[in-house]
Amino acid sequence: MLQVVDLTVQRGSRRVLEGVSLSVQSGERLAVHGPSGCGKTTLLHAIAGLVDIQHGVIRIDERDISHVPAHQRDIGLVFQDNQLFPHFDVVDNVAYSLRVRGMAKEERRSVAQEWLSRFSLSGLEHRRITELSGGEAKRVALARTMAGAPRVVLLDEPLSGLDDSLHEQLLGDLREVFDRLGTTVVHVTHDRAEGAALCQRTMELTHPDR
Amino acid sequence: MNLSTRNTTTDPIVRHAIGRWAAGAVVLWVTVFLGLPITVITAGNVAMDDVTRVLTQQSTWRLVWFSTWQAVLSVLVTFVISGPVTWLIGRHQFHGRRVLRAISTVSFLLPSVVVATAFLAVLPRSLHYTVFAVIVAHAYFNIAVVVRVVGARLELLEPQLAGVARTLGASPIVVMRTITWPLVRGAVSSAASVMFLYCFTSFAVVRVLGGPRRSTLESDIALRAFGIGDVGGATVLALVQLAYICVVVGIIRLLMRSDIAYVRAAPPVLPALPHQCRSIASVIGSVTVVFVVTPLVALFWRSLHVRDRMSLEAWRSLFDTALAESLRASARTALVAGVLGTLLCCIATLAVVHLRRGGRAIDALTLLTLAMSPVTVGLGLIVTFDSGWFDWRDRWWFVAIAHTLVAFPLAVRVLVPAWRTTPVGLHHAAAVLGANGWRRLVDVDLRRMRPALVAALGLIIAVSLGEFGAASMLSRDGAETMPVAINRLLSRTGDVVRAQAFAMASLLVVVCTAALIVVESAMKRGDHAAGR
Amino acid sequence: MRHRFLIALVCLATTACTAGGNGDAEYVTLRLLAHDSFTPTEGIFDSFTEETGIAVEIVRGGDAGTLVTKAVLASGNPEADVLWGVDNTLLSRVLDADVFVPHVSVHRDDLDQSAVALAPNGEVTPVDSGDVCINYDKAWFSERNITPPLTLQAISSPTYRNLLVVPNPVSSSPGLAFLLASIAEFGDGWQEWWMLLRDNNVLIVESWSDAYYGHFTAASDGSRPLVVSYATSPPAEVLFANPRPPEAPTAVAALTCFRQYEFAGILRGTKHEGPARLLIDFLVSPKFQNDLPLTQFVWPINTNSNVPQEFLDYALRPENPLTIDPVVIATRRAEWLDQFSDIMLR
Repeated sequence: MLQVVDLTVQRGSRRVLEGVSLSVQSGERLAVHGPSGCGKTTLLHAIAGLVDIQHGVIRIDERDISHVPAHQRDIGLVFQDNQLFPHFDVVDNVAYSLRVRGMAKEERRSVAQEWLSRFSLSGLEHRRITELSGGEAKRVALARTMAGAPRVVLLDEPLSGLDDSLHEQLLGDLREVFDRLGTTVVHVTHDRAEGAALCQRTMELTHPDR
Repeated sequence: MNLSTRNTTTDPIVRHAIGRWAAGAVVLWVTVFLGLPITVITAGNVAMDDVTRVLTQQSTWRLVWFSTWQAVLSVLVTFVISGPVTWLIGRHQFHGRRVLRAISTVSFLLPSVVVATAFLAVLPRSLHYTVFAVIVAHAYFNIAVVVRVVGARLELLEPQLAGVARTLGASPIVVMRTITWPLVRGAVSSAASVMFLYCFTSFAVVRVLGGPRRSTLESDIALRAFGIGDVGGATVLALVQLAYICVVVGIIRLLMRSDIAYVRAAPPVLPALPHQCRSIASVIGSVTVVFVVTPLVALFWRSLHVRDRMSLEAWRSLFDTALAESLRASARTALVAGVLGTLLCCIATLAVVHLRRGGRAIDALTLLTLAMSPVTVGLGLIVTFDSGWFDWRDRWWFVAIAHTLVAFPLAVRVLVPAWRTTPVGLHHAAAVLGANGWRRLVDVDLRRMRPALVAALGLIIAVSLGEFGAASMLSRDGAETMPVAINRLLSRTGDVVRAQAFAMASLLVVVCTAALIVVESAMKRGDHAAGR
Repeated sequence: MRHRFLIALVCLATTACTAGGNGDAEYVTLRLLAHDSFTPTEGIFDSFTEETGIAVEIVRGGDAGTLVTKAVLASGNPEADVLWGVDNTLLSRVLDADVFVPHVSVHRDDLDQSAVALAPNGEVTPVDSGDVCINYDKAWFSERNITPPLTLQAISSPTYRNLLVVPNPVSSSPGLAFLLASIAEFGDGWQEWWMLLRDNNVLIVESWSDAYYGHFTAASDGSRPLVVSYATSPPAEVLFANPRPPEAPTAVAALTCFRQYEFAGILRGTKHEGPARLLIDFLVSPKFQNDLPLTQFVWPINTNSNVPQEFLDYALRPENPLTIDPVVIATRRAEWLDQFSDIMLR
């Protein structure tokens, strides 16, 4: 289970997050809504360990991870703009987390292959990432995060910018994957319908200044 | 907005047509002003006897060996010295970043004669005429190359990529090895090639700081051609140098495959400098500034001294006489070189970004212009363009033409990344509105490229202002550029004359810095245009 | 905006193309190609132009070696009409390459005949002379009660260890003159003498200015009180100083001097051969020759010229300078430089 208590993040003299608390049970999916600029992305980055926190505690299964380095937290993050590695092809992107854990090349490729097929990406293994469509790139980003089997998955506007049919299709795929694996998810989105469709619970984040 | 950005125009037929025309134009220019002169001087002055004589001389291979190891060492030392400041500038936003970047570029544009003389003034006597002095001076020049080439790439590197990799379980060291390094490797190899070329062909620095006992191929070429009058032997040496450099650069490129720039549409917003890094950053910044500025201050200091006495005489007499003429000549030459060179570099950029294999060949060709011995090219130009309509030897703009070639490799390296970041969406929009390829080029690309064009223009102008080798071969009275004038003043009798040389050098620093500030502010505007 | 940019480009391109070709139709303009040290008084050619209708444009083309190399390459199709500044160490290079049109000056009989004899067919005309000698810092020696060296032989003695700085003969014309002085003095023994100098820790630097302004105690914060320079350096020390010292801080060892003559010639292939002849005559006329001492610190070649008193006061004219026949220099120079490099630079 993921627990965030009284989290405060400051950038320079500006408070980006102030006193945010949330709690997600194992296997639960939480949607986080809020106006733009209220710190949704920062919240995810703080949980993932990419920004320093000034105050508060982050726990996973009762363990305090507030100051554990990002690469030891076992928390996956899907960026809004995907952030695929431009120098790798599709399969190497997906296999990256396995590679840094020292898995042999053949083995990690076959694992990555499974994830590709789960996200309907079979056949694109050796495509360069600059040659992917928006929907394909998003699927690669999701597959890459899932391949690392993180304990918690953080999604930052995962379906924005996709057209309606793609949106629906990917939403269905995600629900299916998360249901099957019992993944714990924090899902940041401005789209309430999307949050309701994917998550069991919803919370509102407000601007720290207001 | 389209999420993916491609680095070329979309219509492959238009793309190829543009690319081929551009490549043809560049090849033609380089052939006429570089290939032809070398051919003419070789044909006219080199006998088989010269070739065997030079190739069998043991001293030739000693020159090759010294040129090589001092260049390799210079490149390594430059990376060590400029690494921290490059990382600082390329990865972080902080107050004074642009100033620091401008300062660390100034040195590159100064005539090497001036810098070498300044180093003599700054270094303790025990270090004069040592390889150490040569290498430190080379590093001094080349900081700019690392800061510009590698720094620019670092800057375009999406900072979040490292974040993604961390969340996927990669430690900072693994991120460095698997993400950051592969993405900057191309820039590092590009910088290394350029620096190797500059150091390998180093002339004035080696002569002045290395002393007569140390000679690179390039400085020996000059000695042979002018000191001994052995033009044939000098030309053979120039060809040896060219062949050798081709091989070395080829190897560097093979070893460190130059990547096709993986850059994003707009430079990402750089993260602010973390608090805990402030003190180390200010140390890095101030050490760099002191290193770069000290020799310049020494120049200025010397301009204020006639013998041991503080005096403004040099400055006063400078304004009375030679200065106005030199300033005019320099300005005129730099302006024409800037406009011509920018045009040429645009064309080269078109070729590089629109052709795949051909693009890489053009890229290599621009580097090759650095490998040609300026002395030999200068002599070649004199014997090639010497009759009838083509007797251009006494034309002041002839120097400007030479400068377009000198500035070429740098300016192309400014333009290509900027071009590649033009988002494909704009091309789509232009295509929908019915613009054909050329119209599209002008309407969309050129407009978007304007800041980069201004930057390239400024860079070429600055290079032209500081260039000595070609200018000294071709310069004419009334068209004597500042570096040539400085060199002439330095070799004349009289303390005042000497102080005048330093005064003029100080002025040159100011003018070059001004050109750089234009470059910097153009880039700043470019950032705004890109939506920052 | 775009159009403005293009228009600007076109304008610049046209100015670039037209600016070069504005010759003055009334006058013949002669181009006088000279080395960087050619610095006559401004306006010195005005009277020549008035008398003859010939304008003179001075074109500087680097040091003497560069000038000669370029002239040889352009032989028969010159960049200019008249060349100033070939010296006797370089003379045979241009004579062999047939660079000049012979000319017998109207002032020939007034010129220093030993210089005229160096180019007996008149390909070039001597224009000035000077001497390259050991210069020493008077104060340095008197403070230490050491006698300055008077001969080349003396310099190799241990007394003068660590004291001498020499410009590289391969890259510097006074350096070459000094090497020739040693060859004139010691004949075949010159190499042994240089080996002694090497053991005496002589410092060899790239150029004359490095030596003089970088290491000579009297002109820099250097540590070498002996330098290879010109016999006219002491007057330059006085006349260029402000305020002028009562006497020169430096002096010349007269027995170490090697005589350099400079020559001017009409470049073969010029379209203005007649006017060029007039210009050569003007260059050796007393009017122009009188200007040489105080502007370029060389001696006039025309024996009828007046050397200014202040120059005579400080300058030394060695009576029996060392010399070597230019023909011998021509045939053996490369070999000598090579041997020198072997001993001193490798």
